[in-house]
Amino acid sequence: MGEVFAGRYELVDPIGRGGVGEVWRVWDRARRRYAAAKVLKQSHAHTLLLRFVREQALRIDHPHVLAPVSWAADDDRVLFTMDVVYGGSVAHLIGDYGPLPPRFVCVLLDQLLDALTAVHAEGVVHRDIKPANLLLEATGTGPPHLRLSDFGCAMRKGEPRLTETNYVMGTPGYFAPEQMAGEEPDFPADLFAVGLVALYLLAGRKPDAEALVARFLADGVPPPPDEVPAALWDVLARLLAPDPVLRFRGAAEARAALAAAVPLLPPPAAGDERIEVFDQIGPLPPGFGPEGPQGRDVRAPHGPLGAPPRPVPPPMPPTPPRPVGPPLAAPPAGQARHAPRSRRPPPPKRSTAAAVLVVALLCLAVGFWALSAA
Amino acid sequence: MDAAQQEATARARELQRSWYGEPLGALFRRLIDDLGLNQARLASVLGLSAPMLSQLMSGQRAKIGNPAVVQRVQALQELSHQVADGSVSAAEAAERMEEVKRSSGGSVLNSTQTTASSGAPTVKRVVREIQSLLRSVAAAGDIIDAAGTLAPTHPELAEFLRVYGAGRTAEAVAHYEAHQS
Repeated sequence: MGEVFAGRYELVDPIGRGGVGEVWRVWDRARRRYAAAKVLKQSHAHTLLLRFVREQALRIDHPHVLAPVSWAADDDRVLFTMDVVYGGSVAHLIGDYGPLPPRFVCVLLDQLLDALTAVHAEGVVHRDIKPANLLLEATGTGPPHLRLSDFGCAMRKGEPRLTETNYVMGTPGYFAPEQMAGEEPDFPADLFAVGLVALYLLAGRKPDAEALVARFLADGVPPPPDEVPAALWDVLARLLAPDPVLRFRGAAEARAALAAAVPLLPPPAAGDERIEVFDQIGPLPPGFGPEGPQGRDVRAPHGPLGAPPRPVPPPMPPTPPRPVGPPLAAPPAGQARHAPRSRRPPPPKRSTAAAVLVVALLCLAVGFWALSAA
Repeated sequence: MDAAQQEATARARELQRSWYGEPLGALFRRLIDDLGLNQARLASVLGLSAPMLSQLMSGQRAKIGNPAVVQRVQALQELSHQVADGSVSAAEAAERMEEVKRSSGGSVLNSTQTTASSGAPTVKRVVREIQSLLRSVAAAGDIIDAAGTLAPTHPELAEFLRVYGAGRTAEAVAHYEAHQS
């Protein structure tokens, strides 16, 4: 049996690395389904906790947003879970296919702008829009389905900064000029990043943001790059304007302009590559089936080997979906300490006290979030 | 596999032969053997996803869509020849594969790295590496001698030795680019 985290999440296999720590596929005993879990070691907490808290505190229910569903803490680690998204990121797509056809890119951009409309409506600036954070469902040769992920840098607009640090968060290369200048996080910075992502998808390589900004500043809107049809460039240029005031007023407006441009695009060429979004995560390892761990009862691992994989009642009540503020967030701390352990010895406990402190910090920060959201 | 699928696969392999010199299944398996890789590692060096590599190898898909990947395939073929003839050691080969992996936009999967915004500097770098490798094996005079010996029987190889071993970088870049299409 895999290691069980906080009495609830059975670790299945590692499926990637995120902005904070590792990402595992886990079997959630309470919800009886597989989930992706970001696991953060307590020893990394001092640098990454804030990112972690920011990300787990966001709750947006939208088909193109991948937001955390629940969280839990163990002796020396914390994790939060979200849906498993199987198709890799748009960076995989570029690796496999190179530059993508403009109409396909428009479908992705439409979904991204749809997601951003929802995120911005919550007052949240994502601040880290980049190819690796745009995940895809494994839709095969069907229409693509994008999920905007990783809210580790996201911030509520006007939220008091929780750190003294003045450094800029986000990913170099996908910064808006005003973000570079250290201005308060605002929605137009996300729109600029969408413009850069669009260029990346159309050209199949990372655009040179600095050179682009310099060209806009020197000569106004430059002519469309080779890979970008003119009708689409009219839209992208308004995302990429160095002055945030000259960009679209919001993601919804950009989305409408994009929709108006699509009919003007050249029809798909006959020889265009068939784009297929593969399953990049792969099958479950031995011992796990679609209905969870196979051939054993979680409560009686020494039982008959051929025992049918029958449903196992969740050992713990599900975590409240939205731990808001200190009073509600307190139970998970208790849960972490009193959770039934897996039969395999847990990793050496460095310090239970420290873990409790991490959880307490989490609660405090979630409280901050909730207050500033009100 | 039904007859239609078999036919499609055969057609894809035929196309691969005309585009890449041989079906990609054979080409990739040789790279895997010569360079001591496995499929996952080869996919990672080429910047392809594992399922895409597998489709290309099995002939379910004919074309390598990403031109940067085609360049990396060529660089690896070159490297495997050099490993086979002993001019590059296994340790050097591992290092060179890392360079191939990072070349021409390959790092888009790794968001923390920056990449060249155009292919040109990468071509130059690859060419410089071939040049420096040749020149570390033999002096320019020896290479010209060897090219002269080869010229009557293997003019292309002689040309290759002369251009990379004793020519100017611009000439070598032109040669490299002419053989990429």
